[in-house]
Amino acid sequence: MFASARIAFRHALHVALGSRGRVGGVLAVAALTMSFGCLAGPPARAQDLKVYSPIVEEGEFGIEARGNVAVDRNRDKAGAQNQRYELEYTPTDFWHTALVGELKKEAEGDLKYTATAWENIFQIFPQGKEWLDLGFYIEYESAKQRGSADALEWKLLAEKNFGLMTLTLNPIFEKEVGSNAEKSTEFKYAARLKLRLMPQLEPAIEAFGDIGEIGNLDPSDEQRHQLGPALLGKFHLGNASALRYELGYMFGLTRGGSPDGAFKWLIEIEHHF
Amino acid sequence: MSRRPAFRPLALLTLAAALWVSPAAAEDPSFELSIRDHRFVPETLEVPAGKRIRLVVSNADPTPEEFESYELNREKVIPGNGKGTVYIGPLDPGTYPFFGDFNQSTAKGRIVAK
Repeated sequence: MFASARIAFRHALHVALGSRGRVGGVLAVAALTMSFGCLAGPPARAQDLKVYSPIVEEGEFGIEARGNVAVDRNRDKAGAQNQRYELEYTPTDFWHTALVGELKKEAEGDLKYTATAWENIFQIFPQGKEWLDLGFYIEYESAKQRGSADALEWKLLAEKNFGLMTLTLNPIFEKEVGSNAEKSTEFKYAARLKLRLMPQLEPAIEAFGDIGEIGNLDPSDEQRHQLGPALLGKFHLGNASALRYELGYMFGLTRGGSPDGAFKWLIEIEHHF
Repeated sequence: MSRRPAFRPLALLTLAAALWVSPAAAEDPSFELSIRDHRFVPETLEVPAGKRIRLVVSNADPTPEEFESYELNREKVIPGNGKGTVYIGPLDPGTYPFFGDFNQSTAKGRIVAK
């Protein structure tokens, strides 16, 4: 395994040093992320409710906290939580990277630190240059719980503006990797339709889902599908800093696989250098 | 253990997207805008309507500025002593205000599409 990791890293470095331009740079850093995945240590996973835009802002440094908590009549679902804390930086006009700590709580358990992840977003085209804004997301998640598997997650990030409306779609592919890996590739999705009303208040409708392993989908009632309203906004704090927030409530659309509801929240302090 | 092509569908999607570079973009009319002393120069920029525009924004100030316009649906941070490119349009004839988000009292301007 280490031999293949070394080869992957060497190849990534070669691509990184030899490539020119945005697309070459995007592919090179993606390759480096993959090789990091081969080298990273032990095992875990996540159930995150966030929609990602392909647009990144060069020079932005941020600290973000977000999470969601399940609301359900059933005690075996109610109170389940996922929290993520990120330290983010965008070194170029096409690459955003973040170090992520993830905590999870089962319905009747305690909140536990479950994974450390390296997240990367690559904006493929400058915003508005093409008909559709595109990017992709790669995350390697190193599990911190004994017996859990590491995970590699890819998302395609697509965004289209229609007047004051912005539609963002994220098809998501997640694969367990490493010695504890059991599942094949799972397919999930996240989507948002947002109204650009004013910077401080942007109403939106969001949807999230998890349909199971590709080729072996979960029964429809066991799939997770959630849909609900959200509010997003940004407040400037002066001195090139801003505070972003997101609040939402996602209604479960399936009886078995989704909680009745989930309250989600996000807060981020960002600063531009 | 069998090796599965874990992310083949998305890898193909991503590759297709990466190769989908429009040569027409290089032909977009280009306009320049500067930021100096937290003001946009010029404050009014005339551009052709019905065409996509390549707007190069240069920031002569040492501090970053954010070019922002709800009407144009754009938000782009221009680093201090740096530059950034913003693609806008095609625009209907009309006036489209923009501002510098970090210095809103002074950094104001408008694009007039004719």
